Amino acid sequence: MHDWNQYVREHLRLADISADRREEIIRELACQMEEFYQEELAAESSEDEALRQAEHRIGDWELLSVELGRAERPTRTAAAGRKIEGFEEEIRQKGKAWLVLADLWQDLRDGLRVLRKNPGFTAVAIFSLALGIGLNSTIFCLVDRLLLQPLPVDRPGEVVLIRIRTEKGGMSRSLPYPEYLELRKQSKSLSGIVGMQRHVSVLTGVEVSELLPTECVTRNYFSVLGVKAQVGRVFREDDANPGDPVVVISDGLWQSHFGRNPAIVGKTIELTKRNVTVIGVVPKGFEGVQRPLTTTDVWYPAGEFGSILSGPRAEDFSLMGRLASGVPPLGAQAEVDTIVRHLVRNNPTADKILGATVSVEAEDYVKGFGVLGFLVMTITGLVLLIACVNVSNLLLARSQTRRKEIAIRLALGGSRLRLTRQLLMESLLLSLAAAAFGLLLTRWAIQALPALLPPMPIRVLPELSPDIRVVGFAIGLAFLTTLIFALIPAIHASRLNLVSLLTESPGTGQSGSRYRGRNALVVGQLCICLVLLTQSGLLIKSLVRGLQADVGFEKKNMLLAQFALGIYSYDGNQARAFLQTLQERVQAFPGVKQVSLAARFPLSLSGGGRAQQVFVPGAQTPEDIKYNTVGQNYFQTMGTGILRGRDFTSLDFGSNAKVVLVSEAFTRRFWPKEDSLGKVIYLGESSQANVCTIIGVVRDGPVNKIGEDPQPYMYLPLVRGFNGELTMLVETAGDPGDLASAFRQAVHVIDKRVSPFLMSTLKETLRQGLYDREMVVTFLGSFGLLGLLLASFGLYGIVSYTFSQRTREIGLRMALGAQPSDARRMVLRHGLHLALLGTGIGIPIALLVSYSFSNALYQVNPADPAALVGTALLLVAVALLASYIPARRATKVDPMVALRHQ
Amino acid sequence: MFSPELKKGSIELLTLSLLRDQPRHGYEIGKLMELGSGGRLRFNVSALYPTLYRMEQKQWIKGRWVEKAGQRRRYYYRLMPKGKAVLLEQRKNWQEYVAAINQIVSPKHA
Repeated sequence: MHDWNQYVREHLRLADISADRREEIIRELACQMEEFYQEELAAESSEDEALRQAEHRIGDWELLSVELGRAERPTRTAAAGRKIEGFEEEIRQKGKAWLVLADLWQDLRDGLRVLRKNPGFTAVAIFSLALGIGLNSTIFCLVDRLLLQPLPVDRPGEVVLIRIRTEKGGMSRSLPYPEYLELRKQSKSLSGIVGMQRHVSVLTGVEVSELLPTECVTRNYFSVLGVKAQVGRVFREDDANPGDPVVVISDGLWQSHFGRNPAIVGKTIELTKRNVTVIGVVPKGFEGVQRPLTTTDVWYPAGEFGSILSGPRAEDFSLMGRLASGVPPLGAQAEVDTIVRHLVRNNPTADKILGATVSVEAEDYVKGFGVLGFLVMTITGLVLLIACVNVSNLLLARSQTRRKEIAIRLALGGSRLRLTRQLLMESLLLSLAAAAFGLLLTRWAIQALPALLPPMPIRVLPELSPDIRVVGFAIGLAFLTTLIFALIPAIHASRLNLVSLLTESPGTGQSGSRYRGRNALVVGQLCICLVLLTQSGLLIKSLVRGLQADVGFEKKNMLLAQFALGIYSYDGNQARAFLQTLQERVQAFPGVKQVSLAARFPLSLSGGGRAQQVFVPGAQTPEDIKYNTVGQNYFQTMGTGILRGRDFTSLDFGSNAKVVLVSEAFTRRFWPKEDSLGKVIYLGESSQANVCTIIGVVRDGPVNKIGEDPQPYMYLPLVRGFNGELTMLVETAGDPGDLASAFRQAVHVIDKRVSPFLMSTLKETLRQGLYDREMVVTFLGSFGLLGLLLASFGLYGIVSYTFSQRTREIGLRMALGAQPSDARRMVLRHGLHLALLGTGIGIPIALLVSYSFSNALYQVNPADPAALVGTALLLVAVALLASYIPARRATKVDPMVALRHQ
Repeated sequence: MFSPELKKGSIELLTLSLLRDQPRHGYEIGKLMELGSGGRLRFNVSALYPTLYRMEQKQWIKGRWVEKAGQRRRYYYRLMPKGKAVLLEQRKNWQEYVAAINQIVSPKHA
């Protein structure tokens, strides 16, 4: 006997009715079907035919469900009526607000129930949105920390930046130290002015020495900024023993290296081989005020104490101040500008100082970097948009599946507004769940961020943590994404018409406009992916070009070891002797080709090195020119071409050295039409004591960053500065890293106190020169691939759904003689069509974006065909792959089953 | 075939009439309507059963499960006193209505 009870249970949709009553109705209708079946058998139909007829004679199940629902309503209403009377009284007493809350609570419960009933859809939607929200929250955490949050100082709105304007148009040059002291004394509009210099120091005396971002600051730094120590104290202007080597450390350093032990106060630590006393720890969250890279771990006071690596360089202090009470920024600007002009009139500098600019730090900073922050958030916003489009498509598709359920709810008396609200509540629950998972993702991503970025010898990211602002951002994003992806499907679903729905023929697919809308969304996703991935491709190419770029020297196997012998109290002669001995011993190592010395290595972190005031006869004013002091064989070791003239000889390294090699850019600057060989220049004032003859012209090469324009540069013999920083360059036949421990050993044999404070290979140093580009590529590439992953889900979903709705059509075609391969081709063609549309529209947009940011590209054509075509092909391949599973499903459609498909 | 509107107005009367003499189940009621009208009155399940349930709620009829010997279990409806009164009222109204219509639509003899 056929199980009619089960059959009826599967087809009948009765909502809001008790289980007992429902079972009763099911049993009765099952009886009816059995009667029909028996009647057909009695009429000598076959069993199959009788079954079919019995099913057919019930008619439209949807209509039956609606009519039975209406018929049952009086029963529910009567029982509910008594409840409602009680409710009405309660509502009268509590008011409308309570009613609204009660409705919302009901919507929440209904929404949870609906989502639980569709675990597959719920999981996919949450996954898509969580990726998008998580990514955006991570970037917001970064942008907020670097750009948006006010400085962690007292009354940050009063803190101002003081910038010095120079004749050459520079704005970041600081004031010489003596002039700074004078400005501080004279200014009334600023209640305090502080100076800061960035350094790097090395935590030594531990198993593995570590580079620490360090700042040399004026003694009033903490008091002007209003930063108090959380343990111990900070240095003050009235310190009893200003010459003592004391430091203040960050909370991060206290935690990572000293376990937050309060005994840190008064503890002696070894910093770049020098004993210093920690007198305090700053509060958590304070890492300096020089944005964006506020990552200071150690502060030490300028003045008598002197520096750890090298003395306070007179012209290198960045200045900030605090507005005096009641003084507006413009007032401070006028006063400081006047004072500075007056001060430098009597002490002219090479790059003539014209005046000063005072601006509120918060406003100035956001203005300067706001564009960058906006750009980064826009890119991540695009990925979120892709995720939203996916979910929107899923919702639109699902609203089609639910249309009869929705129509019945409307027929049973539900208002459209209420229905829209219920649908929005379901979507909001999805978004909030996604926000929760997204925040977990943010937490993980922040912890993983340092590992994902290219390695740097020093910390470049400030301490990050998803605080209440990030949580608020994620929740806000959840609400926003709900509006974006759910509003239209909700409104669309609530507009469904019952009559036409119940009478439409199943399996013939919905109206073309609905498909077009969803297809357009998928095409939009693919467009965005194309733009993101093309930019990544161009930047990757730019990065590769950068790595291959001519850097002015040969990219050999080379070990670089940096020393700061002054901290071991070496004088010039002792340092010279030490290095000479070391050089001889290292030269003798097997596999070592050449050894040389230089004050700095090109493209290292030391900001281009020092500048020397140079007077060129015929020029109107002296200029500051960057230079390097180098040892014998430097150019040979580096493989830097000497284009004309000669290298230094041993005679040039006497203390009266008066020779120099210059770069091609130097020659072009001062003798555009002549050769500079043999010309005379003055290092400093134009007096005989400072005369210097140009003996060679060297090939141009980048000084700070790969891809920068060539600048005038000089090379002087290494006769001075042996107690300063020095780099030993060791060219090796094999891997230079293999030499590192033997090198350290050789150093210790000569003097066991000494060790190089930084060792790296040439390859690592070159990579550091491209750090910013590599970071952008990492981010953009990741976003692009993430976007592609989401878009491919979206494409798979839409193609899959489209063809499940067209199953009847496919079945009909196959019943009429089409082959399975025709069905497969049809599906793949649809996917390909969407992909081609996406790439066709995306390519012009990608070109527009590339040309807008062509400055960021190094030797790469913004319209590079390989990047565009490669990305387009990738997108098409992914689209075909995403369409493959639905295509295979289409080939397995049984024509007879398809024709009965509803 | 009669229009749905016409049929809709008469289904209650027909059902109550068919239950006047004896209890019957849903299938039987539908079948009798069809056969009794010579095949001209055919009500599908989505019209008949909601009507039965509405009348049951109004207590015009009452249903119960009955298992007769040798037969399967069926849900039989019987006419209640309230239903009887409604039947009488509706029949009277129907007859007056038909007479009034006939008065107008019948050809007039000169």
